[in-house]
Amino acid sequence: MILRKLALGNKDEAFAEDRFSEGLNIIFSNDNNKGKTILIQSIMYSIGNAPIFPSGFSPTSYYFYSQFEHHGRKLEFLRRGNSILVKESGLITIFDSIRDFKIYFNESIYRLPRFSKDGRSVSADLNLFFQIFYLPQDKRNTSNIINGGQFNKSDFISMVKSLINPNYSDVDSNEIIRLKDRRKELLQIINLLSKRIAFSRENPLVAQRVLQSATNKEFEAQSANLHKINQQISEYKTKQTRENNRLSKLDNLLHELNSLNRNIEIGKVKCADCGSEKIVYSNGNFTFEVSNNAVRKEVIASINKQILAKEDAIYEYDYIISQLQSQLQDQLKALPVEAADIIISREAVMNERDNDQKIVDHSTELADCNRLIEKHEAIKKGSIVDVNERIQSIIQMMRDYYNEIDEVESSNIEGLFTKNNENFSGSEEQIFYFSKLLSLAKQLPLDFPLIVDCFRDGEISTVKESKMLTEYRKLKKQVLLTATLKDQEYVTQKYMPSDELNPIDYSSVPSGRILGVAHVSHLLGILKDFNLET
Amino acid sequence: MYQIINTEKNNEKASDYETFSLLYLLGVRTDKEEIDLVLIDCFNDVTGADEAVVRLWDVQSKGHKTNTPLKIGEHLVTLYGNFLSSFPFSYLILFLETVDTSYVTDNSKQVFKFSDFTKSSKKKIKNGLQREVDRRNKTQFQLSDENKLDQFLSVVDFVRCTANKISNVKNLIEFKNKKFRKDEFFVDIFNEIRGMQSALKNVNVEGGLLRQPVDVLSLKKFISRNQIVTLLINRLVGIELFDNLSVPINFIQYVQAMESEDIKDLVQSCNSSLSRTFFNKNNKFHVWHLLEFIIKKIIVKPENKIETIFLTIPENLRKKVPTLDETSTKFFIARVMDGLT
Repeated sequence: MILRKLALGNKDEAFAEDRFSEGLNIIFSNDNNKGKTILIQSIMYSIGNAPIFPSGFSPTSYYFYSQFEHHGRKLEFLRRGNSILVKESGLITIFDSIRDFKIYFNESIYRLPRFSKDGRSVSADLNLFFQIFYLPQDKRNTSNIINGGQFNKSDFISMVKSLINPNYSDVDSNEIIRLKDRRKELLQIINLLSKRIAFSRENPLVAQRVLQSATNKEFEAQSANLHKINQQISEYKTKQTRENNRLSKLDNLLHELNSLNRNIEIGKVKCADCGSEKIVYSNGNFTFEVSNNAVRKEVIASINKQILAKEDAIYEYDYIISQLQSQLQDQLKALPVEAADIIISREAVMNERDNDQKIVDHSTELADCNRLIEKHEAIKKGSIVDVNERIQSIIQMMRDYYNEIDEVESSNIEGLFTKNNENFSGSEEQIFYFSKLLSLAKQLPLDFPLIVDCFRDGEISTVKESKMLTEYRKLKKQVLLTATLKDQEYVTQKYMPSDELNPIDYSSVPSGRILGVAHVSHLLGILKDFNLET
Repeated sequence: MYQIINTEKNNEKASDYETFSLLYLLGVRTDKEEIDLVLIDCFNDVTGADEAVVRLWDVQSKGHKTNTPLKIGEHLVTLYGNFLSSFPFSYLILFLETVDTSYVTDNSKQVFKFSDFTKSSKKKIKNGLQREVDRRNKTQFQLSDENKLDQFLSVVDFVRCTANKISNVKNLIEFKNKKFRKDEFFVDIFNEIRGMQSALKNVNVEGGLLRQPVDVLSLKKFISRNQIVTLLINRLVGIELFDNLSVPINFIQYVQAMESEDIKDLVQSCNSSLSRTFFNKNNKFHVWHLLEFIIKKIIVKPENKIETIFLTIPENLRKKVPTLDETSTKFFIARVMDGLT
């Protein structure tokens, strides 16, 4: 994305800026309070960032407009409060919340990295994502992310890893789980079949009789009878299990319905004068309740009736099953022991040959399974190694930048963040952030401008600054920096416009009053383009 | 041009009669099928309209125990004002709780005309109306003259209310229902409709100017036939959940190949989804949008197949009711179809 234009304000006061170039831009002034930070914050705020405006500036009373070019697309954003309007090719889309806008951003602008947090796969929010290429003036802290909300620095690192390899967080984890489940199943089947084979081998006499008796008609009939009872038992058991499942589902449903039947009363409106909750709205939008008391009572009563019926059915099946089981016992008792053995083990013996083949088949599948699991795990391990190597090379690059700018032998940078008790400050902080943003920009080429508010904060010497600017220039992408110049620097025109540098002077802005009447008509024109009348 | 004046808030009994008027328009009149919307407290207590708001059925309702001809005349004043306005009121209806038998020549009629009143009553009605006109703001009745007054009286329909909450609700739609429904069931629905009417009444639009009838829709003070029908069907289907375990006839195509135990599971899961949907108090806008859409589709073209109806439901409408999955939605469609045939 390349920033083309920015505007903010309302019908009384406004400001607009469109002097941005595609390369290195420095927005500077000879004094503080000229609106540079408001400008930078407005850019980020317009595309969904959480506000870190200077105190005394209330974003809620203004519109924030930005226009970007993104791979040949012209994208226009207009934010007010938590609503963002997006205009592209004449089409205006409204997002009522930053969450909705994030979905749009993810689908239409840049796929936000997903990573796993507390065991769940989450996508980065805009605040976190923007910190890859954006550094505000306030709330800086080298040992953590800025304005983190639900995220922290380890999430930032996970996000970077996911940008390096999108599959990093869940390299076919599901596939591995599926394979492992299948392996477990196969082992069980093989185990069972082996037991059966073992039986016929250990009881050759029984096995032989079974084979002989296979043609004996009387025996067939007896065995069929037992088989039938067994089948009935299993059928009833299935039915019983299903009724049991239904019963527990109904039980759960009852609990669930009770909780659904509550109004979630977040932000209930009350009359400030009298405290009444009966407020009359003027905009209509009324609707009936989805169900009324009678319906709810009846449904609950019917469910309770169903539960009773299920309980009865389960009890009844219990009875039938125990009847069948004693029937089976009686029949078995009436048979000679050997015959009983034969009948029970009949299936095992008859299927011995089959079983052999089955074991072979299953063992082959098991081997395949094992190989696949190993392969997936190797890939996963490999990608972890790969990603970690890339992180290390980002950190090494940070060190190199740091050493180069600060002219020290070796910096003590150990990661993307400093340790909790080691918060860099002053020029150290500035160079640390510089090194980090540059390294990330080089290693993760994202299509976003690099934005640093107050890029030489902390008394950066002229020599260091000039080295930093050289590096910024080398990025060959849009860079937006701001700086407050000392009088001497300003008088001697420190930043001269050239092909490689686009200085934008804000010194003439009245102190503390970036918004004025001059740009109001321009802003109103923009609002009109969004079909907004103020 | 139409200026909205004299909207009123009133007591329960009067509200009852306004709901009776609404149900009269949607369920009793012979031309009821032409009435798609009922505007609440815009032109009058209730005003029926077709979908395009080109034709209007204007109703003034009066829940008074006794109505002398003089009083009846007074009650006519808003209707008369509307008659004189430039808006196309096709029917002007005075909805009365009682009309004493002695005032009317033929007492068998529920709907009658001015000509059906006795001679002396006619005179008093006219006097009552004239008196009220004189008392009111003159600008509204600038065009009034003897001729107009007679013309007006000849077109007014006088309707004797059948103040039965149960039959009035039942009139709305034929829906077969396994369970015998107690009277309270219909009284509850009557009260829900009344509640909605008074909620809409509380939206203040007094003083608003309408250039043409259709502008009134922007005030959002109306109840549609489809809303009411959906309400009734939803309640009738809702009250049967878990009680009617049968598979709806139109749904059989989906379960034909299944085993009976699987079918039982499926019916239970559909009933569960529906009950979750009906119990969720926090998603009612989206639920109603979806249900109204479905029911309209069924009623407009009863020969439509379930699949056809399901496919016409916009994706975003379905997505917003996550408690209803595809199967349960089709199950619901089948249930409604069963009830309506």
